[in-house]
Parts: sequence; C-alpha cells; structure tokens
Amino acid sequence: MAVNENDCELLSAYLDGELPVAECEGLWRRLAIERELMSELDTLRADHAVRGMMWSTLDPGDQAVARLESRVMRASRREDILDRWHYVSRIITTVAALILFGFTIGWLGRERYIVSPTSTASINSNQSNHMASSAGIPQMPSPGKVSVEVDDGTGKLVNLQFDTVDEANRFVHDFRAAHTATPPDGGDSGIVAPMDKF
Amino acid sequence: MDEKGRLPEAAESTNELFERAVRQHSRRLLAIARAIVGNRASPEDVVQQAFMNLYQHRDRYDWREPGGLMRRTVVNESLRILRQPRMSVLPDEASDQGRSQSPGQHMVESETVLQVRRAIDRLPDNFRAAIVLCEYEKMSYAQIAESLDASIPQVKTWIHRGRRQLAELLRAYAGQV
Repeated sequence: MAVNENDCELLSAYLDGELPVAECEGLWRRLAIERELMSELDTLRADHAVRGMMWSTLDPGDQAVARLESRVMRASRREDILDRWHYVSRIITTVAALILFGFTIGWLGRERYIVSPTSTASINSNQSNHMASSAGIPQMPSPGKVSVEVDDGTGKLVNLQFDTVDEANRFVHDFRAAHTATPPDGGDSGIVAPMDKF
Repeated sequence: MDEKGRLPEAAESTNELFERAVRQHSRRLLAIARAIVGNRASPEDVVQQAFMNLYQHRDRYDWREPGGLMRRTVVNESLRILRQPRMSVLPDEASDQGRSQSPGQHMVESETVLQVRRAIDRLPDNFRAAIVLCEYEKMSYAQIAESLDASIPQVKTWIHRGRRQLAELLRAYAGQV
C-alpha cells in the first residue's frame, strides 16, 4: 500500500513522540505489515540524523556569548539612566504644570477682584439698613448712641455711631448726596437714613 | 538552575534576576536565533533586541522562571526580523571551529551542514521556526504552538511540511553532486 501524506504526518509526529499511545499501537501494527510505511519511517529517521548534524553546529561559541552579554548589560544600564531621566523630567513637568495652573487661577481671580468692587459699589438699602429697629426708632446700640451701618462695596459692613439722630441723618444725607450722582446698579444710594424707618 | 530553567529563589532585585537570566540563557537563545534568521540578520542583534524588549517591561514578568519567556521573545523577534524587507546577507560563519576530526571528514560534514543550513534558510518562516523549536529545543507541539501563537494541528502540519520540503531540497542537492 502506498504511503500517503497523512501517513507521513503520522510518522513525523511519531518520531517527535507526539503520537498518543492508542495511535502508536495502531501504527506499530501497520509498520509490521506495510513495508512502504517502514521504509518511509527509515527515510525520516535518516533525514532527522542529517539535520541533527546541523543542529550540533549551532553553538555560538564563547566569544559570541560574552560579546552578547556585554552588549546587553551596557544597553540595560543605558536604559536605567533613561528611565531615571524620564522619572525626573516627569516630576519637573508636573511641578511646572502645577505652578502654571496656580498662576493662571490667581490671575483670573485677580481680574474678578478688580471688576467686582466697581460693580457692587452700590449700597443696597435693603442690606444696609440695619439701624432701624422694629419699632421704627433708630437703634440705640449703646446708651445715647445712634448706629448707622454702611456697606463698603465689598460686602463688609462698617458700623458708624453718632451721638444724636440728627447727626446720623446728616451723615446719611451727605453720603447719599455724594453717591447719588452715580448709583452703580441703579439702586438707592446705599444707605437708608434712619428717618426712613420712622 | 533546575530542569525547567527556574532560577534559585532569593531576595534579588529584578535587575539582578534579569542579569542572571541573560547569563544563563544567552548561549541557547543565540543558537535559536541563528537557526531561525539564518544569514539574513545578526543573531546577536536579534537576541539583544529581544532582551531589551523584555528589560523595558521587566517589572511585569516573573524572572524566577525566565526560560520560556525569553525563548518566546527571541522567536518572535526573529520572525519579526524575517518579515522586514531583506537588506543584506551575512556570510556563513564557521562555527564548528576546534572540533577534532580528520580534514576529509571535517570537509564532508562541513559541506553537508552548509547545505542543510541553506535548505533550512529557504523554508517559510513558520516552518523553520517550528522545526528549530521541535528538533533543536526539543519542545512539545503544545509548547511550540504557544510560542508561535498557533494551534497544535497547525504546528504539526508546519513541521511535517517543513521536513518534506527540506528532504526534497537536500535530495536535489545530492542529485547535483
């Protein structure tokens, strides 16, 4: 019986020790009766032996091995230096980015701070009218004193005290006269006279 | 090192383990690279590049058992080199220096080896890699399949067809002589 391609593949696997035991037993039975198959196996073995001669010459020799090891060690040290440099440069870049970010935020905040006071220079009468009591009488924080609170434009309230209600009214009148010309938000002058609440 | 190419466990740094692995496996890996790339590239360049590829990601690997990993990397690097456009052909090296044989026998063997090597160089890349790993490295089909990222039946076919082509090439050479 002629040896086909599948048989050759089977013999090849058998020579490599990759054939399962069950298939080995079947192959042995066939080898015992099929001369062509046995002849093919002998040919494969002979080819294997010739290739074996070539494999034995692949040993690179001590010099080549030493040269390779030296090259790899040098290259790995260079790689280490590059690694360290990349690490340092990453830190420097991160710090620089953070500083830049901080400056940018500060700059933007500064712009807003400059604009804000002019736009809120108006003194809201509803917010600043802290001197009126519920009874409609000027508040007397301490005996014989009249209190007037003024929004300074940044949201901070300044408490001014006067000896009499008339003095307080005069101050309010003068303050209003000074700010009436340019009420920034179209609102009141920023202070409500104590009399308003009377 | 034990049979599996496993290095002794010790409190060594990754770099020390890498250096140790390089010293222990260089010779064998050079031979594999030489068998696969033939005279189309320098085996030293191939193995060095493979080592450096591993070194760049050394923290990912277990260096206590580096044999399989290094072999797989060298095979892949060799195949990658072979897929690149062919730039130059290196001269055949006389690697069998220092062998004690008679001049006549030595000449015949050298010529045979040269012809086998040339025939192997003419095989398709996957056939050649599979045969080298099977016959030189004595790897199982399953290990070869893993190394070459192929299935076991595919490896079986590559090895069989590679051997058949080799036989035909060598018989043609024998016929010429």
